[in-house]
Amino acid sequence: MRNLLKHSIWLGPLITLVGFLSYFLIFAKYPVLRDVPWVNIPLVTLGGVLTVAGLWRGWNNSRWIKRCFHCVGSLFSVGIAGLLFFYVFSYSYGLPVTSETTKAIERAPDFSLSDANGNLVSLADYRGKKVVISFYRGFW
Amino acid sequence: MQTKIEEFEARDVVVLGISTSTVGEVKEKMIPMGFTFPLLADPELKVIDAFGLRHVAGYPTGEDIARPAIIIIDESGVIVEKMLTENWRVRPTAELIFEKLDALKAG
Repeated sequence: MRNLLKHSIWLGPLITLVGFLSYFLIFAKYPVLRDVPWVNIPLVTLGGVLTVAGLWRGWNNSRWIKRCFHCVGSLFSVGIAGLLFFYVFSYSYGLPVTSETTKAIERAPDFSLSDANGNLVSLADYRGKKVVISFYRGFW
Repeated sequence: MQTKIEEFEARDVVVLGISTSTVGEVKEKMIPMGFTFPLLADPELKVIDAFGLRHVAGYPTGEDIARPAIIIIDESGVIVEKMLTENWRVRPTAELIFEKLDALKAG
C-alpha cells in the first residue's frame, strides 16, 4: 500500500485516463457495460482517490517541485473522473421530452431515402413485412 | 443491432437505420463500422420530423439531429411499438426488440 501511494503521482492519473478512454474505445460497445459503466466508474474513482491520497500522504516530506507535480496530477485525475461522471450521469440525459407528434403517430408515413449507395429505399417496399427502424444520432 | 442482424433476418424482419448523416457521411463513416443493413440519409430531417424525433441542437456543434428511437411497424404499416430512451447512451438492446416482436406475434 505504501509503495502504491509512492507511485500514485503517475499511477493515479494513468488509471483515471485508462478508465476514461477505455469506456469510449472498448466498453461502450457492450450494452451491459455501457448502460451502467461497471468497469469505468470504479476505475476513474480509484485513480482519483489514489492520486489525492498520495498527495495527502506525501505532502509534508516532499519538495515543492514534487508537490507541484502531485497537485497537477490530482487536478487531472479528479477532472477526468468528474468528466466521466458528468457524461454518464448528466450529459447523456440531455434529450428533449417526447414530442406530441411521436406520441400521437399511429401509422408510419411512407418515405423514400437514399442508402449509402445512393439507392432510394421506400418504406412501401417492405409492406407485408415487419420493419424495425432505428433512428441514430449520426456517425459520431 | 448489427451483431444480431441474422436473427432479425431469421424472423423475416427488416431493419433500417435513419440519421441526419448525408449519403457521403454514411458511406465514409458508418459503413466502415460494419453496418450491413440499410442506413438511410435524412440530412433535411424530413422523415425524422414526420416521426417527431427531431432533437434541436442535439449535436455538440449545435445542429439538429434525431433522438435515438426504435420504431416497429407491422405488415400493414401500423406503428406497433415506439421505444424511446431518456438517455442517449442507453439504447434498447436487440434482445428487448426480439421480446417485443415475439409478444406482437403471440398477441
